[in-house]
Amino acid sequence: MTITVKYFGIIADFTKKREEEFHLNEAMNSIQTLQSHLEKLYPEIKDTAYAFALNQKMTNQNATLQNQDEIALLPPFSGG
Amino acid sequence: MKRYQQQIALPEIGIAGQKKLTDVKVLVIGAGGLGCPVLQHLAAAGVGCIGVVDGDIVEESNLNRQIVYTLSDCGKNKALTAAESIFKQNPEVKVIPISSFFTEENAFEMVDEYQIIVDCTDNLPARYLINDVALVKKIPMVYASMHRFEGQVSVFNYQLGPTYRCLFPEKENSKTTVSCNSTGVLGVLPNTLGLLQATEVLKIILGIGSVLSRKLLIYDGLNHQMQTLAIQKNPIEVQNGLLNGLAIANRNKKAVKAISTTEFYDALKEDSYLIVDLKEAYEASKWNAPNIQNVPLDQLENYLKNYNKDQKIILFCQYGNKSQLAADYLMKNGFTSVFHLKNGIESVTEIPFKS
Repeated sequence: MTITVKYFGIIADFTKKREEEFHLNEAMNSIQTLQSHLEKLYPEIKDTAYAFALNQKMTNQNATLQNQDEIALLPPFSGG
Repeated sequence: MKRYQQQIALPEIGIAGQKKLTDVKVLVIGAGGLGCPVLQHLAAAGVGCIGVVDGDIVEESNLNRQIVYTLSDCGKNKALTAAESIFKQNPEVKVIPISSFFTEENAFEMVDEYQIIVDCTDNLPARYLINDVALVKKIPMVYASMHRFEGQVSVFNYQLGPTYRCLFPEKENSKTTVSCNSTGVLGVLPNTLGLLQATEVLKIILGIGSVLSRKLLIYDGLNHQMQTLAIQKNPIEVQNGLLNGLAIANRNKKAVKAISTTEFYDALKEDSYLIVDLKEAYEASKWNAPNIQNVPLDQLENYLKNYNKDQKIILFCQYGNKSQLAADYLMKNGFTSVFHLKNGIESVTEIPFKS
């Protein structure tokens, strides 16, 4: 399945891109598995607090993924 | 009322709506990039009483975005300077400056009578603190924050809606949080976000439209994209916030607050404090002022008999040791708001009222 992952705030600083597509095999169908995959690709995000949104709704690591899903990694911003 | 006639002309507002604006008290925490536009627009709209909290001073590097301030304000406290400027802008509005940072020690005292908090801070601990205090006090928190060209806006704790912790549970060991001083910021961004916050504040007061609760607005100024994400309430995180807020409230209930000389000067200008010099008859009085009472330690309890337990009291002595003990004693005996001058009157170098 193909999913789109969007990056915000400091996460986008680490990934150096705003979004990218991933082709996942059917076994990697939870946000948790996606998360460990992303943390391998971008080690800095391991030390960063962030929340997940799945198709414009905030969600948690246990959510399952489907083809064409859009996942966002959203860190808290501190600036003001 | 001419000042407000264009907004009163809106059927959603009218005279009744304008009265709602006049009658409300809004606390703006942080008078920086977000706080400046929030203050300007709440004052312009005629919000009756605006508290502004900031312990920071104006720096030249703030001026690209914090357009309440001018070059000659550099080095001055932000809350006091902003209050002055806002008063010039609209003298019909009452602005209460609080020239210290929002901390666990003073949070509940500061929020006391306000009906809405606007979170214009620049760090995560302050945001969690505001969230938890707002939860205990059952008032909404209008939030915004930014990173480079991006911003987040939401209203938390509104009509039992989600809280800041529901969106971002506190993570103990996250290292990577940054302030705009290190990442840079284009001046227009906090102003855009501050205006969105002010809009939400006005809608909450007026009870019109739909408030940005249960939603997080994400604004990307660089690519002009705006989107909203749905936020769900997380009962565990609501409870975490509430418990933390209550713990802070309880911790401070019995705690005597040591005040600085600056806070002491501020208090001298207010009528609401009972200021007591604990010097004994044989001690020379270093200085006095019309509103300072001299009550030796052994007469203190008797002297306070006729005062309410919630009377705000400041005690001072020569070095701060005696006033600390006396203040502790009063708090243990039911007084709720006792302060003492840290390091005593000897630490006061500049004396506004000479004896």
